[in-house]
Amino acid sequence: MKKYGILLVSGKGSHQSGHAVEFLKDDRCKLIAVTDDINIDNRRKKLNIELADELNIPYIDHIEKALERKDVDIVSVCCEVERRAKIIPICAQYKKHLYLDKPLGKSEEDINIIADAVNKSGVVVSVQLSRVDSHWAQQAKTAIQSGNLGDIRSIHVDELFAKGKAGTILPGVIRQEKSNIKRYTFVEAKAELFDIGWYPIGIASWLMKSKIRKVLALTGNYFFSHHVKCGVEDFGALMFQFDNGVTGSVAAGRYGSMSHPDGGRRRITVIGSKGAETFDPMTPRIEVYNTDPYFIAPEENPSDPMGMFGGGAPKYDKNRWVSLVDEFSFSDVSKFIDCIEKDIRPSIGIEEAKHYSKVILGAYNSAESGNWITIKD
Amino acid sequence: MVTFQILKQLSFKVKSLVKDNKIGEPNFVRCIVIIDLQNKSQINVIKTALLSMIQLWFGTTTKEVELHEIIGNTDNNEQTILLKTKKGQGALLTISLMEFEHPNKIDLTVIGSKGTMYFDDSNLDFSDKSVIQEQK
Repeated sequence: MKKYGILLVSGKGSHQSGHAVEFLKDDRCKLIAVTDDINIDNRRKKLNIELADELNIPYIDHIEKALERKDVDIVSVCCEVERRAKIIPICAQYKKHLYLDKPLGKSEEDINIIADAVNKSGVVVSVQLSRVDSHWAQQAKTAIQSGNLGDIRSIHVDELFAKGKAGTILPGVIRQEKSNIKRYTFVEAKAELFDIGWYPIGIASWLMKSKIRKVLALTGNYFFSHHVKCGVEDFGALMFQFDNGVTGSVAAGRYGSMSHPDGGRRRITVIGSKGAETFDPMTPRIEVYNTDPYFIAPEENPSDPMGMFGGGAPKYDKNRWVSLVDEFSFSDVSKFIDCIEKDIRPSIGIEEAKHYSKVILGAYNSAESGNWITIKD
Repeated sequence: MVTFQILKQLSFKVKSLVKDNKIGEPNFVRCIVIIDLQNKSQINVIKTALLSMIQLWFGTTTKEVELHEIIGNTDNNEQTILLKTKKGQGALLTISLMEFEHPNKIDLTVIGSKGTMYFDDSNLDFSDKSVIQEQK
């Protein structure tokens, strides 16, 4: 059996640790090395080497040298979004299949640079962490396709992460959005509409098989002082209209580890002319109440205070709600390998990623101006 | 003001929990309401009541709403409203009318600075007998 050689761009302090585990779980994959741009700062280099050491694979500090290796078939790119317009085109030049972190880029210019480079290369590209293969998104798809809901009128999708210590925001903070954001990624916080908004926007657009054409949005600093300090939002809400006339809305953000009995609200509501249905990974569920110790919000880990990359793990897990289907039983990685092997287009390829990223940037423009923004192709 | 027994109870209880600082400062409300054909004539009453409830929980007046935009369909049986107050609070309210018999449903999330309230019910009574007149 062919083993696909996987090259990891960037290491700890990103989603890469999680992807590496997923690649390792798939018998068809073999990890080759961790690599990155030669000109990274010491902190990033240290985090990269930490992951390479943990996985017992080499760290190659010159990305082109790593890409030249004949045993590399797939590159998983997880560098900070601010560096993606430089790194992804380099990887695309070497004609390796690409597994890309979301969102695509920090600006419209970056998004176009990345999409152009990838389209020229002709490789298989999947933009990961999409949720479209989750059981609740698949249930929504089945319900829509069955026709039982009639003609779809609207779709409403929420993704709220129950992570981080909420309630640290000072009273009176009112966010004034700035659309010319230069930086989304910090150690203490991330722009949450940018990062988490990707999921519900993607699910809504994928389910409707249509592009979002206009958007109206707001952003907020509702929970965390870290986000205020970094100048980024912790929450965003959008309403929009698709090309096909269907309307929709999205709420996305990080609202604190104590705000939900599980990992956070993830919910899809589809309303049609013949009925309305809600899809939720925790519905139906079994609820268990017993003498076992229960979750207490973990102490803040200074290197990952928002729990973005496993930092600040609690002593006891949330264990009161048990979903009938394992919430994360799907694997984006395995689906991606299937696409390469069977020569199938991934559900979320470069064109979808480009669109979702442009919707997010449009939402920032709208939140700044208070006006509807048209999303151009 | 005209409202319904269930909305009055919900409004009072949420306000009381907000007052008891259970969720910190209420910052965002997500609400999806499905109304069945029999209650078609009440749709505007329900919408007005829900918007009043949201402002009550936020502690704002209509004058303090800086953004109130509506998007709907051409059949005029569904609306989503995005609302933002001058204090930065926000809400997404969707009201959808089913043109046949269907349970009246509400899916409500009230998000505060330190916690969140969830209310989900599929058996709401919006019939004439549940209408009440409230003093403003």
